Parts: sequence; C-alpha cells; structure tokens
Amino acid sequence: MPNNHDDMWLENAIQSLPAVDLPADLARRVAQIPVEHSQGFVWPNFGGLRMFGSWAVCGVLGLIFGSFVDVSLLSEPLTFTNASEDEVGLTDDPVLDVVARAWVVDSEQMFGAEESVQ
Amino acid sequence: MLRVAQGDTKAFRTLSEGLLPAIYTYASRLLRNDADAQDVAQETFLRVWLNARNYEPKARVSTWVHSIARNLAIDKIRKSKRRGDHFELDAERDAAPASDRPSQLLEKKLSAQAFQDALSLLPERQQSALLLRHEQGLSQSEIAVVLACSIDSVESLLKRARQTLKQQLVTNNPDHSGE
Repeated sequence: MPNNHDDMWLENAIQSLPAVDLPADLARRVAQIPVEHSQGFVWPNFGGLRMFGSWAVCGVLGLIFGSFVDVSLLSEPLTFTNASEDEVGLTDDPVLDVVARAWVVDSEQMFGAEESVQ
Repeated sequence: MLRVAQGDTKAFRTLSEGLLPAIYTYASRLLRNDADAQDVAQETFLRVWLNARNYEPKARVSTWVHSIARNLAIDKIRKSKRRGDHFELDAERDAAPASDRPSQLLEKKLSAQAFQDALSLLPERQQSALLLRHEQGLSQSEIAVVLACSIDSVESLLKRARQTLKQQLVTNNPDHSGE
C-alpha cells in the first residue's frame, strides 16, 4: 500500500487501469481441474521410512514370486542322453522342456553334439 | 492448503475462487492478451492442484500462486517474442463509471491507455514489482519471494520503475507531471 506521495500517484494510476473482467468460462474450467486431473496415488511417508517401505514391498513381492518358481531345478544338473529330442522329455514341465530343448539344440550348434551333452 | 494437498476438491474450489481474479488480472497486465492470460491462469491452478503436496508454508499461499503465474507468464512472453508476436490491449475494457460524460470518459481512457503503454515498456521484473505492490497488494518481502530476489532488490526495482514511468508519462504528455 502507498506509504508516501510518490506511491500515491502510482497507486491512482494503477487503479485507473481498465478493469479486467474474469471470463465465466475460465472460472468454470479452473473449477473442473480436480475432476479432470488426478493428483495420483500418494505413498505415505511413514515418518521418513518411505524408501525403506518401498524396498520392503519389493522384497515381499520377490518372495511371493519366488515361491512359484521351482528353484530345485537350478541345483540339479541336466543330464542328456544321445537319444533324439522327441524320445526323451528333459524335464517334467512341458514349458521348461521346450526351453531346455532349444538350449540343447543351440549348444549342439555351438560346441558340437558330444560336448554339449556334458 | 493442506486440504488441497490431500485432494479436497472443495478446498481447491475455495482457493481458486479466491485467487483466480487476482491471478488472471496479473497475467492480463503482463501479457496484454486475453487468450494467453487465460492459459496462464488455468495452467497456474492446474499446477497448484498437482503440486499442492510440494507447497512449503514459508510464505502465504497467494505468494506461491503468484510465483507460479509469473513463471508461466514469462514462458509465454518468451515464446511470443520468438514468434515475433506483439501484445494488443483489449480496447473494450473500460473501468470508467458509466456516469462520466463522453469527454471525461475519453480523457480517462486515453490516460489509462498511456499509463498502460508506459507500463508495458518496463522490463518484466519492474512491471511485476509494480503490479504486485500496487495492484495485488503484496508486501515487499512477498514480492521478493515471487521475484526470487532480496527485499533491497525489490526496493530498487520499484524505484527505477517509478522513475521510468514518470519520465515516459511526462515525455508523452507534458501536462502530466505525475504529481
């Protein structure tokens, strides 16, 4: 607010500027902003432990996912015979079987049939 | 503001209804273009809504909102300068009371026009300082927050703006001494 004579004339001049009428449409559009734009999900901060919470959630998800994977397959060496691919199922799981067969074929192409069998 | 940050639409509506006229007026003065001013005002409140959680209560909410509006207006000005646009004053706006006689009306209109023209010639920071101080009623410390400078700088900006305005008005109209 004006506090001296210099400010007074300026105050008057600015007050004499043409008034700006607020378009009704603008007010309506601004009022619609919360409807049209979501603020998104807000993670609670847990008193600064948000990062820890994120890692904890990742860990729990990892454990759940891991429980569906038969890890024992990784510890058992695959054994192959000289029988043809069609004669022997490499694993009990049909999906893993397809992957294993593809690996055998690739290995044979890269190292030769005898080396890949080892 | 806390309620806005929590997604309270009623709180947002109350906030926007209170501040929208001031923000739109400020943007209109700086940009001198209705469409751009509307864009800036709308975008300002969109950012308020989306970034309400980041608001730090170091200053009044209105100061924070003015800062957002100013930054957006500066972006508009830069883009317009790049395009080579120039801003037109809406000739239909007239604050003079209807009871004024035509001659008085014309005189006031010309005077307001001359002042607005002189104002628009000031650098943006000086314009903002003047408008925020004398039209929006912000304190010098609040203007310092909006302009991201010290209070001393605000005083300096206001002083230079007054001097320049006076000179321009006296040059353009010798009868107008500014006193």
